[in-house]
Amino acid sequence: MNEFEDQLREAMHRREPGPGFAGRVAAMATGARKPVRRSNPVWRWAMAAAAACLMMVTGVQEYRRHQGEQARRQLLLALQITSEKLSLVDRQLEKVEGIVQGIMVDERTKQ
Amino acid sequence: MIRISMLMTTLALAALPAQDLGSFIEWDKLSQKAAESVNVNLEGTLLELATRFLSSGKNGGEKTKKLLNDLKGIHVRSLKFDKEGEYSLSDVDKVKSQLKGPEWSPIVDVRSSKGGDNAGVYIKTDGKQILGIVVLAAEPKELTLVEIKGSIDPEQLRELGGKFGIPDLDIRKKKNAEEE
Repeated sequence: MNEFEDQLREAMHRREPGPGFAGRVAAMATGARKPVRRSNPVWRWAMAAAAACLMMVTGVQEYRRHQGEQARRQLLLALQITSEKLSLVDRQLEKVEGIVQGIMVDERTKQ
Repeated sequence: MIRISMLMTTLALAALPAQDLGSFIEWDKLSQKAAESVNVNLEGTLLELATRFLSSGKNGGEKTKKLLNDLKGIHVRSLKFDKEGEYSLSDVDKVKSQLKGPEWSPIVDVRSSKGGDNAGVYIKTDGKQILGIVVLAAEPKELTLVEIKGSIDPEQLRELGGKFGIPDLDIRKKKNAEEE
């Protein structure tokens, strides 16, 4: 029993803290008490609105780009078809020229 | 037999608007029979947007930009059929009859009576400048009507030849030969 009491006494024996303990505790206490800076709700709304505006502008730009690209393709298709048909006319004229020249050669031969 | 008429007359203003030409052919009815159908309608802001996109590319030279800026509208209706005889030549004649007003000058009109290709190029003028061009091509299995609005000479279209994937055209030579 005495042995147990001795151990208990030893465990409960007062010990002095290390050097600078009080300073460290004081510094931690001061740091913990730093005021938390909360953001202004108006500012947060403004940021959200700016982000929404940016997304909208980007969306509109992307839509315009898509629309322009589609229109460009349509214009190209239209110009290609026009070109093809003008070439067809050109070929027809060449055929006609050939026929006319053939007739003229025949007439000269007859003469 | 092929009948050709080539006229180069420049006469006064008249009333028929070019956008009505397409209505003389029942495209919707015919497109049901067609294997392929192309319908392009570009005017106003959409055309401006398209020309801006087209001329901003690497092919956008000054002449090309001018040509595209002079475009006021472009309408293309083209139908391709699997077999011949799906459309009537009377439909084509209805359109051609609308191109005989004093403001219209058929620079080329080729007609084949043997079921070959019928093609024509018509220019609309106000006496001073070109207001539009119509290209009508009636092939056995294909029917195409192109209306280009704006002060564009067919020769200017040559400027686009070899650009944007458009084949080179040589219609100036023909036109000059006919004028001589």
